[in-house]
Amino acid sequence: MTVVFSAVKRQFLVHGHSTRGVYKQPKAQCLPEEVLTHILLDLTQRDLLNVIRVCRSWNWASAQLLYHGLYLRSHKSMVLIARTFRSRPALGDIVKILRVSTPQKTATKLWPPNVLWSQKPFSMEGLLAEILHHCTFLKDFTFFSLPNTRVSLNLDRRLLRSTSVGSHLHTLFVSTHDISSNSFLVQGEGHSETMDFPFPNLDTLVLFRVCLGPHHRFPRIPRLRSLQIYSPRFAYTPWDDTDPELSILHDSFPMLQELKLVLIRVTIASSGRLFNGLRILDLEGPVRTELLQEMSHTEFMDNIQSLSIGPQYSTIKGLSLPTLPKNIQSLEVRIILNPSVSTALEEFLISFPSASKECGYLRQLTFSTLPAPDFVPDEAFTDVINKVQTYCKSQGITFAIHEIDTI
Amino acid sequence: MVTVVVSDGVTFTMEQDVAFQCGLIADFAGGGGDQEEPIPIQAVNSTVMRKVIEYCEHHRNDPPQPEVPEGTPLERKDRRGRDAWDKQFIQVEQELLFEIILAANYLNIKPLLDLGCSQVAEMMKGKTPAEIQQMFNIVNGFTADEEAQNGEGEEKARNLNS
Repeated sequence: MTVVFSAVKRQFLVHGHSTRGVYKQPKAQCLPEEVLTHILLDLTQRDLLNVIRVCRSWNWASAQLLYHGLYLRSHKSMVLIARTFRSRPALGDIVKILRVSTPQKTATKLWPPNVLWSQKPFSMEGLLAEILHHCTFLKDFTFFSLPNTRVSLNLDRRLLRSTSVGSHLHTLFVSTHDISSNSFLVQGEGHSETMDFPFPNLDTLVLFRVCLGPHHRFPRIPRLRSLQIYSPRFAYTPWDDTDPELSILHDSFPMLQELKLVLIRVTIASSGRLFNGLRILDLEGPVRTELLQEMSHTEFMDNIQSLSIGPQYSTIKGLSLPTLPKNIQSLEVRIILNPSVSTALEEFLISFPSASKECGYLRQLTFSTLPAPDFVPDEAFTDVINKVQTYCKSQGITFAIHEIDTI
Repeated sequence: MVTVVVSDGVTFTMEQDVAFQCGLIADFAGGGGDQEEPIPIQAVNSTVMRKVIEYCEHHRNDPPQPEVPEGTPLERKDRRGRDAWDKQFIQVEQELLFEIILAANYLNIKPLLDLGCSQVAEMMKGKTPAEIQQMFNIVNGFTADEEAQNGEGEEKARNLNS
């Protein structure tokens, strides 16, 4: 038995890479692709752009590295990439990560004024659609437009449908800062619960200051695990009817594990088993108290391990807490430090023990603080923080307080 | 003891801990006792094998490297630090350097492959395509059309960023 086995192995060895009888090319030109890639991984992008022009086999290997992730920051680079894909469509298949953003302030000096984003309103749907059309295996797409750049992007279903992008897309991040003109692809047509969605395998969806328009319904996204929506609002002002109100249908996201809503009004069409797998919940801004109250009565809160809330998230004055999810492990409270913060914290200290009395797994309490410009910590503030610390210590909860620069 | 016979018929005998740094030999010999017959390694000649064994003997007491999961080839590698001995060891003629790399790849000796590859990368850094072609005696084989496209590369260079 052993003899047969080693004979087979031997044959494999003998017929492995034999260099005999091969046309004698320069060694560098006939390296196996995996070895070449190994070498090229040591090089910077600048060097790769030289290597790509050395010879045919090197060209392909270095293209794999250069085109894996593209970051387009100007009109010109988009035009050039579109032209490259037109002449070599195979390159588009390499692209897995695509980021498109309007130039940052410092970048504006680099470009002649006639191609500046900000000089003339420029619509890039056509160009972007063409680029996306070639990126068949795109996994991660980010569109980021900075405020006041006057770039409009209508990333609607028509644009994304017309491309072959879709089934491989895993992460979608869109930031338009464009409140007035466009709505995003969540615009519902009709009221069917089975609206089809162009990205069946989407795992992470981040909508950052994208105008949702009034009364939007989300389509069902079967594999979505993380949903983060940041409102186009910039300040905490009272709600009015023009504010986005997000309507989430029953069973929209059966796989959802992480939900972050920043300054978004939410209505949930039906509660109950809505987010059965939800582990991480982050509600920022004045989220309706009813929502949290409604949530706390349903069993979907049972799986939540991490909850972040605030600042002054509820209509309840100060920082009174509702009942916490019973299996919670970590609670983060965002606090704006202003002259009335000590009073708010006193209220927190009163409601925290009763809110957390059923929470046997709570191990971590974090205060993320954002100081108002004129805030100076006074004695009352230090005192109440000390009280929180003492209480946490007695309950075996780790307490941390740290400053954040932005909510 | 493990015995191997290379392409030009030369036989090498080495201790197991030296030989087993070659993943291929370790797989082949399987860990069970002494090999009575020499293991044929057709892809490597005696000059290169001598260098490979020199490397393996020097590094026989190194701790094993942590496994890098497959499927992450695009990440920058964490390479074993090159000591003075390694630097001296890899200062060889270009032809031999490539043969060492190919042998390390074939025999599956990852640290030696890393060492050889980073040496080649070092040689290419900051060089123009023409300089690289000349250094490695490469015929580019591009058509005139492709050359024209390559010309745009310069322009692209300033616009691409990953």
